[in-house]
Amino acid sequence: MTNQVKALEDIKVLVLGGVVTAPTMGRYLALHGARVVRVDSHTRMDSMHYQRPIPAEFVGDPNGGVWWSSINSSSLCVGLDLKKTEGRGILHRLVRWADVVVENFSAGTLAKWGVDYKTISMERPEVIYLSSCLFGQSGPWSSVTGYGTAGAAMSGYDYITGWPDQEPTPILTQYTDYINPKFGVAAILAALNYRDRTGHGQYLDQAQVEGGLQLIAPVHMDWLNNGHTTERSGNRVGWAVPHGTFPCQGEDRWCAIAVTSDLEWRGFCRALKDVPGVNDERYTTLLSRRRHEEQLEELIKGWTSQHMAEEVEATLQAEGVPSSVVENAKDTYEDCQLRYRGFFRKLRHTVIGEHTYRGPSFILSGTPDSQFAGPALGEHNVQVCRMLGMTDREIADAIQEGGLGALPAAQAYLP
Amino acid sequence: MNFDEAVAGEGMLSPFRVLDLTEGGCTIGAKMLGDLGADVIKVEPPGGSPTRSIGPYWHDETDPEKSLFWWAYNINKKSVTLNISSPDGMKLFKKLASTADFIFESFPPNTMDHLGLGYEAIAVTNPRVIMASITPFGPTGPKAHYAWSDLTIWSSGGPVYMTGDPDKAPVGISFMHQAALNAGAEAAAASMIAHYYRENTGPGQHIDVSMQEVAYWIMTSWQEFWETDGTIPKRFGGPPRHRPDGILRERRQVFPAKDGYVVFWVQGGWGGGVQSTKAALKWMDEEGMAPAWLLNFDWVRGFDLSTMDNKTLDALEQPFVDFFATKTKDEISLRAFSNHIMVGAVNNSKDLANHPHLKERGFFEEVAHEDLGELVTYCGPSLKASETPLSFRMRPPHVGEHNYELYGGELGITQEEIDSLRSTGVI
Repeated sequence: MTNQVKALEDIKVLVLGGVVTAPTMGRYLALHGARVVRVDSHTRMDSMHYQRPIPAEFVGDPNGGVWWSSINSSSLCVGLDLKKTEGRGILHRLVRWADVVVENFSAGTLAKWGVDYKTISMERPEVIYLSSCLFGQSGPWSSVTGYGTAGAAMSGYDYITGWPDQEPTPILTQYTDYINPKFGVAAILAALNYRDRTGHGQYLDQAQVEGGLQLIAPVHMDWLNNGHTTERSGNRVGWAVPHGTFPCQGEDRWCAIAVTSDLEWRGFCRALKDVPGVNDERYTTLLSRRRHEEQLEELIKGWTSQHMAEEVEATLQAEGVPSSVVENAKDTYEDCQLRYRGFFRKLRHTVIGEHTYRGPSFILSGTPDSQFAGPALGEHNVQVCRMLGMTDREIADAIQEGGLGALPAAQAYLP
Repeated sequence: MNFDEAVAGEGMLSPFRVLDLTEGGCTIGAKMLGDLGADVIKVEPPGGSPTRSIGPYWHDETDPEKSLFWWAYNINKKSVTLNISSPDGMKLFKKLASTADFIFESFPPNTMDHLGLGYEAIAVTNPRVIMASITPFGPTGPKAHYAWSDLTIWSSGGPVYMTGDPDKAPVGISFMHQAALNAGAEAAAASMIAHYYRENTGPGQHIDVSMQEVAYWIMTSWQEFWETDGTIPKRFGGPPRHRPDGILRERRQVFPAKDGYVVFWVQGGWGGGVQSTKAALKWMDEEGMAPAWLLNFDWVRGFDLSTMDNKTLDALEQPFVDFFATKTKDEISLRAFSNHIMVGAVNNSKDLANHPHLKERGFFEEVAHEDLGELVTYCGPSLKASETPLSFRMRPPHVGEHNYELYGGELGITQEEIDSLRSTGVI
C-alpha cells in the first residue's frame, strides 16, 4: 500500500452476506479506500469459499479459495456466530458503526436478527442501507432465493443465448451478480452524497432480476410494445455479416470476426485477397451477404482453419477489421493489453500466499485504487473489535463464547 | 415507506449536470445518473446519434426517432446537437463543459484530446469536472487502436469462450451489446467514486474504463484456473457430456421442464446449497419420484466435487432430470418460492411481461410520448430508493430538442446565431 490519496477514505462499510453481489459492492468501495468490514461465519461459512479453483495444497481448507479472496480483496474480515450472544452483540455494534450497510440475504432474514433497515434507521436515520436479493424486498416472490446463474435465466439472458435449433444455453457465470453491483455502487455513493447534503439516509432495495433486466431492456420493450419475442440466433445479427466465431488451427481455437461497414468489408477482402470467392458479387453488400451468410461462413471457415487464431486476428486487424482471438483462461491471463495496463496484481494472502488478483476495470487519474489481498476468515477479528471500541477482555470473552472466531488456519490472529 | 411517492422531489443527483457524448450500449452510464436525478444532456452530432439506428423500433417503424434501443438508454436526458470537431462547435462545447459536473464519452482513444477537448483542457476552466472515457481497451497499449465490435470485445475478455456447447462454436449473448452496456454501467459506478471524492475534497478527475476489463470481470472464477492449477475451463452448455480426459464433468444447469426449461443444479458439501437440493428431493419424494438411495445420500459429507467421479454425478442428477420434466415452469417456480429450492425459470420477454412479481412491484412503467399520443412501456429503474426514488421524469429526447433551451436560454446565444450555427452544420 502507498500513501496515495484514496477517493473513499472516510467511508465505513459493512458487508453482510455471501457469494458475489454484496462482497463485490464492498470490493468496489474497498479498492478505493473505504474501510470495508466483511462479516463471515466460522460456523456457517460463505459457500463461495469452496468455489473452485482451489490450489491443490489447500483443498478442504475454506481459506484456500482464490475466488473468495479475490472478490473480498481489500476488505477486513470478521468471523461471527450469530447463534451466540456475543456474536450478535458484535453484529449490533457493527451496524451502528457503519455509514453503509450492504447485505444480500434472502428478504427478511436480517429482521430476525434485529439489524434490518427499519430497526437501524430508527437510531441512525443517516444510514445508507442496501439490500440485494433476486426479487427484492416486496412482492409475492420476494423470498425466492438463488444465485446469479438463476438470475440470468430469469432475466431473459439464457433464453437468447445459443443456437436457434437447440435448448437455451446457460451463461456460465452468475451474470446478474456481476451486473447489479454497478448499479448498487452508483446508488450507494449518490445516496451518500445526498446524505451529506441533507442529513437523510435511505434504504435501497435491489431486486437482482430487475437490475439484470437493464442490460437487455430493448429486447423486453420489443415484446411489451410490439409483441415480438427475441430468439437466440447463435452469433448472427442483422447488422453485421460475417458476425461470428470461426475455427482456427489447434484444439478449440477460435477467432471472432465482425464486419459491419462497407469500409470494414473492403478491409476484409484485402485481408483475404488470396482466398478464392471472397470477391464474389454475392458478398459485396450487407444485404446480399445476409442472403448468403451460410456460404460466406463456410468460405471463412476454410480460411481460418488453416491459420492460428492469433494470425487471423493480426491479419484482419491490419486491415481494420474487428476481430479477436476468442480468449480462454490462459489467453486472458497472458493478454498483452491487460498486462500492459497492470490489470493483474500479485498480492500475498495470509494462507494461500502470493496469487494473482484482478484490479478494477477502470483507472481513476487522481485517486487510483489501492488494493490489498483478500482476508482469511476472521483474520481481522481483533482489529475490527478494537475499532468498535471493545476491550481486549471483551474480545477474549467473545472468542471464549465462540461468537467470535476464525478458521483453524487463522487461529494465529487471535490474541 | 412508499417508493412511488416523491417523484417530483429532489433526487440524489439533482444538483449535478452530465454531458453524454457516448454511443451504443455505453449510453446507459449517463442514463443511470439521470435515473438518480442528474440533469443529463445528450450531445449528439447534427442529424442525430448513430445509436438511434440500433433496433428494434417502435411498431417496427425504422425511424431514428423511434429506436427502442435509443429510448431504453436515453430516457431522462435532454438533447442538443453539436459538431464538436468544427471550430464553433468546439467553442460551444467548452461553454457547455464549463457547466458540467460529469462528461461521459466513448470516442476512439484520445479523440477528445486531439480536439483540444480532453480532460486536461476542460479541467483548466472547470477543475471540478469528472470525465469518463470508455474505450474498448484503454487509451494506450498494444490493442488500444484495434478495430472492434461488441462480439470481439466480449471475446477478448473471456465470456465468449465459456458460452455455448463444447463441440460447437462459442457464442455471445444474442443481444450483442453486452460489453458496451456493462462498460457504460461501470463508468457510472466509477464516476460516483470520483464524485464522492470531489464533493468532499474538491477536484474532479479523469476515468479510463476498459471494456475488455469490464468483460473479464463477468467471468466469475473461470480465468483463475490457469494460474491456480494450469487448466483451461471449457464451456459446457447443452446437455452435459463426459470429458475425454475423464475428469469430473460440470454439473447440468439447464433441465427440461414440461413447457420450457429451468436452471437448477444439484448442490452439496458444506455450502448453503444443500437445503435447496434437499427441498427438491422432499418434493420428489412426495410424488414418489425419489429413489430410496438418493434420499439416504449424505449431501454434506458425501458430496465433494474434488473427489467425485462421473458415474456418481450422473446417478445423482438423473432423478432430478426425470422429475422436472413432469412439471411446468410455473409449478416449479411456485414450489421453489415456498420451499427455497434454488431454481429459476428460463424466461423470455413474454414470461417476464406477465410475471406476477414484477407486476406487483410496478417494474414495467408506462411513459407518455405526447408527440406520438401513446404510452410506451419501459423497463423501470434498477432499484428502489426510499428517500429519493429513481424515476423516469422525461421521455427520451428528439434530435436537438433542447437546442434553444440550452444554447439560447442558458448559454445566451441569440436566435440569429443559433440559426447560423444550424445552417453551417455546427448544431
